[in-house]
Amino acid sequence: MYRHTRWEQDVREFSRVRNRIDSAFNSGADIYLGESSNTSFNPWTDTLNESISDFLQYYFPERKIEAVTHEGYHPGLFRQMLELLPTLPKDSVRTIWLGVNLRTCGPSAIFSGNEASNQREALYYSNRPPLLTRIFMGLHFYDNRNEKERERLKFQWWRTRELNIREGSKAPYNTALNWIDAVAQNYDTGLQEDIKGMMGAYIKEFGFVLDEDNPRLQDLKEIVGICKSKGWRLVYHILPPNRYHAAWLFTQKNPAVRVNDTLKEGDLRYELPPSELGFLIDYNYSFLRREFFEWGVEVVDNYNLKEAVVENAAKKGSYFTDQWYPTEHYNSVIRLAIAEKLAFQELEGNSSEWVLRKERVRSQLRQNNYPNWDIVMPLSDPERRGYRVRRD
Amino acid sequence: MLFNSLEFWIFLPVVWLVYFALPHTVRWVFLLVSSYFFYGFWQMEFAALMLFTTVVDWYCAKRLYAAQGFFWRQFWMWLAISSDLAVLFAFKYFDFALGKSPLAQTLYHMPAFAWMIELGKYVIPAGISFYTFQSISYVVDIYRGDEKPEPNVVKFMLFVSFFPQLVAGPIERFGKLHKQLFAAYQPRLEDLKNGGRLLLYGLFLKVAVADNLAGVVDSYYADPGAFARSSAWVATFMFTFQVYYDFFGYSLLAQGAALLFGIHLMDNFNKPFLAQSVPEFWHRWHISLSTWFRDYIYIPIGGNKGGTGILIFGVLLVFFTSGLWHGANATMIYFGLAQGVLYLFDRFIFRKTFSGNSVGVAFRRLKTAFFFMSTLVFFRSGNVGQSFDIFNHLWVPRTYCETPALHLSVNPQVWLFLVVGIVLDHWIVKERVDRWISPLKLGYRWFWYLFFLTAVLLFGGAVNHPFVYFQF
Repeated sequence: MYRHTRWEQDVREFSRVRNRIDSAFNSGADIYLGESSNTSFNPWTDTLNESISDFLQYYFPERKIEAVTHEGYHPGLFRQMLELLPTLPKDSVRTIWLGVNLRTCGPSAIFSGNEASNQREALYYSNRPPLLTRIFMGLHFYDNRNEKERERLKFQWWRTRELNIREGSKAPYNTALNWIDAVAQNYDTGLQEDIKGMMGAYIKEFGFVLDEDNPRLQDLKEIVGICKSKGWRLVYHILPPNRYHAAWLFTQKNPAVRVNDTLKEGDLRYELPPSELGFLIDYNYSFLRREFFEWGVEVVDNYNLKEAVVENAAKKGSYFTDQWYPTEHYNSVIRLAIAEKLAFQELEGNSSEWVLRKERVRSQLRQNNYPNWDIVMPLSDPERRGYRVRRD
Repeated sequence: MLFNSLEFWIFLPVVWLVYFALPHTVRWVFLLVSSYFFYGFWQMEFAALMLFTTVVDWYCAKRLYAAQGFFWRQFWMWLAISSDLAVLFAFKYFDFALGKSPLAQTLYHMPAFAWMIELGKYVIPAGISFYTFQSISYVVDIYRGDEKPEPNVVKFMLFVSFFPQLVAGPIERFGKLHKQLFAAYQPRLEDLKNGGRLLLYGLFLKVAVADNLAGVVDSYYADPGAFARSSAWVATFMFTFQVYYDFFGYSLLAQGAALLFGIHLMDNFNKPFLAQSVPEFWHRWHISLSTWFRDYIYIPIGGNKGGTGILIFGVLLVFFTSGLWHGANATMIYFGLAQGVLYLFDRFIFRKTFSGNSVGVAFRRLKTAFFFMSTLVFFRSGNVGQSFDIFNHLWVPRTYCETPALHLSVNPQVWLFLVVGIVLDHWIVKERVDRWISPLKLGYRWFWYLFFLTAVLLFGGAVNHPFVYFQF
């Protein structure tokens, strides 16, 4: 009775993508899974309104590509979604692209305030009887820890996890919490408030050391196993963070730490302050790459995508939607570049075919030079909107 | 473990079955282990904290009973009370009082204290105010000679930790609860039925009524300035019933769960919105706490017999303490003091007006409910500034130059359950729900069972709102 009365309404109300999952998984299409990097736009600077998956679809008009994306999604949710994948016959090839950002493995993302609603939604990624799902939701049978509990766990992580990762490191602080506090107290420079806020945000998002026990890494590993067992082809693509423009901003606003006056914006010798943070990000990236290699999963590596690094820095960071805190929210230049790299891999490095398609796609694009007011910015997580360096 | 969680609904029948399968002599041990499991399920540190309070109070009460002379009796009593209040302060009020001080910063960087400060700041140990008060009442009762101390510390642990009333009361007295915990009892069908009825109705009030109201109230309080004045009134009205049905539902669940083990807990509510004055309201609302304050604070400082000055002081002190008890926040102190002032206003000024006829009675009831509803703005607001902003929204018309206001959208099912809850609770159910439903004809009985069950299972609030009083 419930299935025939309220179930559809509940699915629409409480699960943003369950219907989309069903149609995508059962339609014979290839699937693009992602988070806000696929759905965020810059209403001021974006002249193209296509997402990464849209661009990918332009490259392969002969295939159907379905996107299942939403801001705040992460490998833990994708893992549960992918349990619903149908097992493919041996002669069939279907691809899943899954965007991986480094921050998703950090405590800020793992203990995000949105997580309870994400986990509630994940109840719907299951084929159990609908009534049981409704009962589970009503009685909160999922990881329903509230925002404050998650906040505590986040601080516990920052307080207790050691950051020393290299021999003879000059890392001034052994934990992220000490580091954050030191920034708040200005440590050895007279930092401006906005720069302090920015530094705090970067340390909170990237100040962790990736290891094999990381829950998100384990989810990514399980996804590899699920796809293998169900006969799907899986491609992870590593997303670039907005790191270098922040480093430049920091250096510009703090003459005390300016390393060399002859450096220009876009020069990658600028590093996030202090250099240990940049080192940590690179360390985590290398660790992730090693893990992917060990698992034998296909990878498209956009970590050092030139549009997101050199070109973005030359354009004063405008290729990223957000300038003052870490995200993977790109404008169309980077979104298109990511799609092109995915397409290149898809064509197995066939450059001439790739160039042909690229020309065709680029000639089809219609630029819109007006601000797009219909675009809703996806910054739903108040943590990300209101970064403050001090704990209070 | 929360009463509105699936874990609890697995835990409860399992504990019940094992409890009655065991011989009577060891049942209480099993109940104790289950109670600590129930409490520690969420956070093991909390169980250790409760154990500390329990052992200190048991020991001090024992020494107090054996002590000769006024000084030592006072010494042991105050040692127990100070120890209880110190723990309460450390975990509940430290962040409010000293959270931004250099001392807190220093302690936070010391591993021995960091976990404590984190807990106090983000997750106050569940029910700490309830079991602390229950334990204090035991020590004071021994001091007064009303009770004899329990010689076995393990048995005393069960009195403090008995799981149905552990995290949000009712705050029971030693004399009443302790006897029942160890009395020989065989399960009776009538108790099972009544316990089940209380559980079902309590769950209905919590999950179908209060949690659905919470969704509406939360959306208003997320950005009160964006809403129209009518929405401010709707949200304030709904929050009043959210708090009531949330806590009343919890109390019924506690009573129902205890009744399955043959233990009768006190009624915590008695139709408070039928009260004709604020003093009467507090005789009907959270009765176990009101009587605790009466017996352990108000009467010892003079009560009604010390003259008007003492009475006023006593009332304001009780309501100040009550406000602080409700939460480590300035808004709660305002809530308590506002209630205190209205209590005195009703007692001295409004007492004899409009009495007698039914219109007068209706007016007095509406006035009392309105007073309570207004002060709840403090209770719900995140800070005092927000409270006054909301009072401003409630009473001052918006100007034309302001941005267009939003209106709260309230799902019809929310209204339906609220109206059913109010009508049932205030007009149809004359006494406790189990006693009302028991003599009904089979068809009517099952109609209500199915109605409550359907409401809980299919229309329960989707967002997890812990019991409002759970954090106290």
